[in-house]
Order: sequence, then C-alpha cells, then structure tokens
Amino acid sequence: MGEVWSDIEAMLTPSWITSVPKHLGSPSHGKYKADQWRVLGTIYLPVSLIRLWAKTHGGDERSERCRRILNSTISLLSAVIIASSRVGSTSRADLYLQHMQAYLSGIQTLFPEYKFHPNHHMALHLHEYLVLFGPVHAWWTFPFERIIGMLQRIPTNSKIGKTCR
Amino acid sequence: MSLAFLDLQLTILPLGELEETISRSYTRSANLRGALCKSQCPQALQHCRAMFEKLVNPQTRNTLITDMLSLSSLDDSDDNEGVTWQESTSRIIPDDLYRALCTNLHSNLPRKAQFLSHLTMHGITYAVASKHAGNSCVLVSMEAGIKPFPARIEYIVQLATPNGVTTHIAIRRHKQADVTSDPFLQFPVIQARMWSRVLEKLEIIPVQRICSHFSCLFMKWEDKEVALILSLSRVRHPSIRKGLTADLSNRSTKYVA
Repeated sequence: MGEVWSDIEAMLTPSWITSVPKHLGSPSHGKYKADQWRVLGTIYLPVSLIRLWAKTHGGDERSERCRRILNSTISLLSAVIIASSRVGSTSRADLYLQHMQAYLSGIQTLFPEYKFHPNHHMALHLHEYLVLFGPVHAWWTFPFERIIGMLQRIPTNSKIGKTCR
Repeated sequence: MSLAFLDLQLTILPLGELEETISRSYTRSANLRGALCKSQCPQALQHCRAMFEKLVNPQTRNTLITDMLSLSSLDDSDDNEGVTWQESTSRIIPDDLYRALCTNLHSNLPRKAQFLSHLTMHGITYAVASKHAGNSCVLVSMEAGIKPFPARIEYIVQLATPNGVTTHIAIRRHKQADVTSDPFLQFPVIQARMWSRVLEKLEIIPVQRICSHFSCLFMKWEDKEVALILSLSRVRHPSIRKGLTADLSNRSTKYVA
C-alpha cells in the first residue's frame, strides 16, 4: 500500500479532479463517495498496479499470480471506463460486457472461495441499459444525489420545525 | 436514506423554522446573483462582478460540477469573449517566447503582450506551469483524428493585432520515452503511456488545439526517468477504440494460461 500512497501523493492532476485520501484504506478517511472510487479506479490504481505487477519474472509463482490479478482488475477498471464514457455505441456496450465477464471469470478462477454478490449480477445487465439508453451520463442518478447534498449543506438555524415534531 | 430525509423535509406540511431558513437563504443568494445581471445594477458593483462570481461559484473539484459547467458553457458563445487590450498590464515578451512566436506566426510581432495565468474553456481551467502544475498538463491535437501528444503550458499570451486581441498558447511537448517496453500499452482502455520527462522547445498553438488535461506521474522505468501520462479525456480517442478488441483478445489468452 505504501507504493500506492506515494503514487497518489506524487501524481500531478488538474484541480477539477475529485481529491482522494492520500492514505487510501485508512479507517480515519471514512466512507468514500462514488466519484472518489471512480477517480481512484480510473486514474490512480491502474498506474500503481500496472507499474508494480505488469512485469512477470519467469517461473516466479507470486509474480505470475499478481499478473493474473492485475489482468482481472484492469478488466473491471476498463469496464468502468467504458461504462462511464461520454460516448456510446452497441459495440462499446458489447466491449463493456466482455470486460465485465472477463473480470468475473478472472475472480472465479483466482478466488474460487469468493461468493458473488447481487451487484455482480446487476453489473452484467448494465450492458442492456447501455444499448437501450446510451451513455450513463444522460440517466445516472448523480445529479439527484448532488442536489440532495447541496440541500443538506444549506445553512440552517438548527431549529427543527413542525415537520419533525 | 438521503431521499427519505428529503421526503420528510419537502413534502410534509405545515412548514417550520428550519424550512423557512432554508428557503430564505436560498432566495437571498439567488437574488444577490441576479442583482448583478440587471441593467440597473450600479457600475461600481458591475466592476466587482468577477470577484463576486469567484466567491459564489461552486468549487469546481468534482466530476459532476465540471459536467454542468461544460454544458452551461455551450450557451456562451465564447468563454473568453470581450478580450480587451490593456496597455497597463502588458509586458515585454521574453526572448525565448518571442523567437517561438516569430517562428510559428510568421509576422511582424509587437514586443509587448498581455500574459494570462489561466484560461477557461468549456468550463475547464487551464493554467501555466508556474501557476498550477496539474492544470498546465494538456493533451494537444494538431489535426482532428490525429492522436494527441502531451505538453506543458508555459505561457498564455495575448497579442494586439489589427483584427483585435488574439490568444495563443506556448507549450513544450514531452519527448518520446527511450524505453524498450511500456507495460501500459497493453491496456489501451486505460489510456496511459510513458513519455520522457524531458521537454521540447517552446512552440505556439491556437487555443482550440487543446483537447484535455492529463494526469502525470514521474517515475523510474528501466533505470530511466519517465513521465507516465494518463489521458483525462472524457471522450475516448478513435485510435483507442480500435485497440479495444485487440487488447481484450490479447489478454484473454493470458487468462487461459
């Protein structure tokens, strides 16, 4: 994790990129927002993981396993990048599905004991939505979540009105 | 949970002090913003408009906010329209920049220019390297359809010409990396690639040639100092699209192994 932390700290990013905690995974940072996860997955993690795990040393079991984990992780991150892209087409939706399936089969092979969650199943259905509705930016719920956040940050006098009595 | 909170806040009547405070502060801030747009607004306040907008504008450090700004910028004919020449703020052009301007613009140039520290296009702010290193990292495409190259903005310069004030960007592009293998090329969807840390000479480009920002990590690879450059373009480049299928088929063989 030290390598990932130092990469997060050293990476030059423009000011509009959502900031992420420097010490990723520390309990003090609390729960990450969806945008922070996306930025971590599409900008910081691929750089660190490819740098650390892309090179395999012949016959070294650990480096081979790291490489397989890297391939699986990059499949997931590629699926996220394609799914959250501003452009869409049927072929891109198909590529999303291919990457997602590659990720899931990779996980199944690498960690046979791992039990999949309903979200893994739902992620496969996203392919149909990409085909039917186009790029997710047109229909994802971030704007609603954002306006809720804005309403919550509006200054109040902290005096609860009749609604909460 | 948040939606449940909103339901409570917005739908159950009658309203109390909490709701009154929310709506009052919201209306006041909207009125204040609107006041500056009115023609009756005193000239003195109009002059402070830029400062006021900086104060009330939301922090643009968020994917969604930059989305909103890029969409709202479509309504504006030009983010930097109404550029005027101000003799008082103009400075002598440094020699290296003057040489680059003469080479690229091929015309008799004035010795003085206006220098900007940043420029906003489609809701995204680009800055010179001395102002903000991250905002100065840009991908530049000299022709539509040609793969962009990474560069650093050194100057944003405005020149007084007979046709008005023209804005030019002085960049220094990254040299090609001298490495035998670049592992990032195996994953084209990630859009990352190694380039040299060393920069070329200054060159001048029109503002419209800037495609997007990139994030940059300086690191050592094969005992060489390289810059790992990851595109932050929100619209994938055509050449990346072509490489997608090849990428997956190459790697799927490794899953089998």
